[in-house]
Amino acid sequence: MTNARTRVFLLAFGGVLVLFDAFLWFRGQYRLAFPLLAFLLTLPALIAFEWRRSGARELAAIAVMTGISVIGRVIFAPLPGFKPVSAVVILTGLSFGPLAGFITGAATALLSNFFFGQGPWTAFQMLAWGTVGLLAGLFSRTRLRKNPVVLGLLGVIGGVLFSALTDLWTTVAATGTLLPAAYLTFLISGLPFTVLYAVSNVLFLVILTRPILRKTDRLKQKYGLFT
Amino acid sequence: MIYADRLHPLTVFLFYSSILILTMTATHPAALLPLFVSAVLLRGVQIGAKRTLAGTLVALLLLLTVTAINLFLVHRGAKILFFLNGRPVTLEAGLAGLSSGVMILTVILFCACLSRSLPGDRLLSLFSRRLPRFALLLRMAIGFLPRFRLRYREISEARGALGVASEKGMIRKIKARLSDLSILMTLMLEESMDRADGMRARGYGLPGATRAVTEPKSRRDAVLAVLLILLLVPALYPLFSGRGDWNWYPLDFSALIPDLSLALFFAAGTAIAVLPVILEGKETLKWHILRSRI
Amino acid sequence: MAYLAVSDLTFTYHGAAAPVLTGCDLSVGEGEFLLVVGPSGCGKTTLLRTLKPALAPYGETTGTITLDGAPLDQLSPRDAATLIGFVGQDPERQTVTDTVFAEIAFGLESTGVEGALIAGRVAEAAGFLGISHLASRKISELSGGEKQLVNLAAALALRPRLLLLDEPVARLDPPAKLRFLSAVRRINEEAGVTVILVCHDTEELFPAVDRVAMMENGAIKSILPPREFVRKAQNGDLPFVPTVPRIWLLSGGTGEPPLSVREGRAWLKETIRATPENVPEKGDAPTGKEEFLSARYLWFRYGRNAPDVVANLSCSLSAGEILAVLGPNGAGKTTLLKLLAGILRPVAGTIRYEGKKGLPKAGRNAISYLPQDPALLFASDTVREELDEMTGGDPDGAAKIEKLVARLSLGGLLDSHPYDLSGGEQTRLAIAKLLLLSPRVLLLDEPTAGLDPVAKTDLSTLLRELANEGCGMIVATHDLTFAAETADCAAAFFNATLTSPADTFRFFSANRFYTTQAVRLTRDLTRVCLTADEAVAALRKAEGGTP
Repeated sequence: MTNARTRVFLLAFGGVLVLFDAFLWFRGQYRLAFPLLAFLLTLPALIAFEWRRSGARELAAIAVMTGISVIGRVIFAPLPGFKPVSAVVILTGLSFGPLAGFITGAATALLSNFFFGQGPWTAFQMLAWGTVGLLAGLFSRTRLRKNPVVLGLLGVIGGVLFSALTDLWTTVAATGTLLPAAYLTFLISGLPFTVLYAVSNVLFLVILTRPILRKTDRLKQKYGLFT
Repeated sequence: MIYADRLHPLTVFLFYSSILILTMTATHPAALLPLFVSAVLLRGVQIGAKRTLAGTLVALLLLLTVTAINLFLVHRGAKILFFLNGRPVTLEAGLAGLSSGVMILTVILFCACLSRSLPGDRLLSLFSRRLPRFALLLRMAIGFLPRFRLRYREISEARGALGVASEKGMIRKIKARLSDLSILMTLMLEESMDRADGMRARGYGLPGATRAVTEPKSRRDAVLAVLLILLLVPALYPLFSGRGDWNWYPLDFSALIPDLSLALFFAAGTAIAVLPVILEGKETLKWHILRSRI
Repeated sequence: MAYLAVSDLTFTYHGAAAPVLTGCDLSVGEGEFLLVVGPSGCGKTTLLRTLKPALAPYGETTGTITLDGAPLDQLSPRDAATLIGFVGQDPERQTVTDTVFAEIAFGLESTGVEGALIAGRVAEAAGFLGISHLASRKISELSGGEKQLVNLAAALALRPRLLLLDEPVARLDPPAKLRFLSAVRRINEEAGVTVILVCHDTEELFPAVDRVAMMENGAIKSILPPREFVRKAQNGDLPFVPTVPRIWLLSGGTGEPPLSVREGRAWLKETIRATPENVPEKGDAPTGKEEFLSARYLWFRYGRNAPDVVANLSCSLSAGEILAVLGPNGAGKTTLLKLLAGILRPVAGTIRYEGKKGLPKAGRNAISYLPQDPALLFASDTVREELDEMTGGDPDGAAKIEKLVARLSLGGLLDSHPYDLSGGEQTRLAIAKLLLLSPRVLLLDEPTAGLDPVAKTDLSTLLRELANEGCGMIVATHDLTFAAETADCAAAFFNATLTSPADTFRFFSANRFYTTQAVRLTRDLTRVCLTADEAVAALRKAEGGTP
């Protein structure tokens, strides 16, 4: 879909950043190296999204899922810890495939931080939610996508991955390096929230998966989406 | 009232990313401190001294936390303050923590300044050149938000007025909210298919799409970009050469004051961060004067 | 030669048994303004979409379509996108981006107009439609009418030579409708763009269009200039003939059929010389009936410093009465209904129900609220599940559903998905859901939005029946004819409050401008009539009476 110049630019841009990141790593500049790495890990999916020939309907559907997960953060604001973002991202992956899942997750992080504040942590959140969506998407064409064990696992991974990656940033930012003791401390002190995230994710998925998948299946069939 | 509004978003973005790179790689206190001061000044110029100072308490808390984390988790260093559970708590670790805290604070401040200088839609216009699909996705989602919020309220009102699920209790409440959210999702997905028709009707997906030029680059952009590059070369030199590296362990107070050549390199970095303060400050001052004349 | 020529077009949706289009023939001249009418499901929308390659539905097509002499399928995708503009029904569901400028520029960017030229093209389209001042506004802040003008500008910016409009005003209130249609007329007259407009509401259109095409069962039944169309109109065409010519036609008028109120009054003056009936200027509130829902001195605003949406408003409703609350969109009608439904709480004032202060709990035998978009109430995957949801735990549920399904003719739809129903069917399903709660009061918000004339008449009949069974109703609507046909009393929502309700006849006959076409036609000339049917009956009687 994109023209040759854009492709060359993106590849060159990505290449330069990889080299720069490697250099920072070599120099021990972890504070910049880690967020840059997180960004570089989301870049292939963003580029794949640009290069994939898919139509307006797919784009509109992903935009709706992104909007829903951002709004979900607002709707559940009165209940601390209950954020349906991961659940919506997982459902997007299960419905529309890995790339759609990743993009919805990444876009949600980027977009909601326009309200909650941007920073280096945005890159980690994009990667965390994106990966959750991607993992869910791996099941999109299998029968396992309605399997309660798989759903439970995805919900838990969703909660844990988010905490693990954001704490990674906190550790590196605070100590300038990835000190295992510090990382562990952060992980443990954040444990109640991690558990709450995971539990609420599983709860949301248990309630939402069947009705939502039935609806997205109908949509896919009626409009020939993501075929 | 914002000087950055008259610049091309790319210029603003390049300035801030340079500043953020310099900040996040600054380990030497003599490099970090001026950056921190510029960040505070820039924020002050942008939102006023009163509102900037209002954040002091949060900032102190952050500094304290980060310092404490380093104090109790890092046990390197020679100047031992006391022992905790048989492990040394050192002055070096405390100072390293303090400097980490200042760095984080500076990053947060500059990020806040960036989002004020370059609001969401202008930032997105930067992506739209190279990542047009992703940028359009974000634009669409942003456009959806007010409608989603309104529709969600209408759904929960209408469903609530039906009186089918009026039971009380936490789980019920969550279930009702989720069911409303699921209705919202279904409705909006259905709607989005019509939107997609609107896109296709207007030629979305044809090869050779262009972008509206709404923000042409001006001479001001060119001058600032050249200035940025001229300053960036010396400013990045300490990072690339490793001369600017600072090590807290062991502590060497004499090295706190850099030699002249290093000071000049740091000064170049500071200049990049001070430039926005001067430009925005001039702008704020101008408006104050203009207003007092009216 | 015709600019657009369709010959023997048939179309069958993928997987469907019967074709939707069955041998359509249509020929439209360059610069023509063609109005297409027809009952729901006759294939109007399918035909219109088949004419726009990017929107062509998926299925089996035979026959030929040529545009400017060349087959439509040989048109390059870029030309197809720019030459043929399309605007659909719901202004809320067509916009893509977040700001007006980006929205109008969207098509220009997609079709590869040079970046530096886009702003000028956007300015041109917006300027022509008089919406330049909206350029930097957010789409979400606009009214429905403004959004639809933005959609029109977005199509216009591509400089189309053919404009396809699929019921573009069905969801707009009268002022916005007139503004949109006059914009379309200017595009046609001043820029020579060929326009094909599908529209149910033909009141203002007959004087404007060149020809009217009637579609039935997937084919064009007739395609005639408006006056010819009126003259040759048969039973099935009648709902699409506007009030004035319909009165002319049914009362056996002679000569040229009148299309506007002005022409109609001239004709009526010629034909009838009866003494005009005196119309009471001021309506009295209907009295004598026992009011069981009443509101006194209600005040409401959405925030402490927000403007009053409802100020010092009083109204009342008795059993079996239908009160029409009239007024443009955004006046506060919806807010009033939400206050009476107990969804919002008034800032001040009291609501009494059955003589007691306060509202009953939501649920059975109480007050039910139908939102403007009935789809908001749908949570399930089939019509049957939607109905079952409402009778959970009720042993007589199944019997009740069966009765309702028969009454609202939902029988054939039980296994359909609620979103696949037509607008009229969705409204019926939503009403069925509410009726399963056996409500004492129904509050309906803009129930006619997007309905075709047949569905509107059905709805009107249904509401009258329910009222006769004792259900009180408040209908918020901007459709004056519907209100005149349906309601017992009417009141206008104006300046955050309700004018004192008068019975429907007094309300409409006392107004000169804010009233139905039939009143405008007959006032001062003969007995004032609210609807076309009344006028026809009156004229027939008058004719019979005078030699």
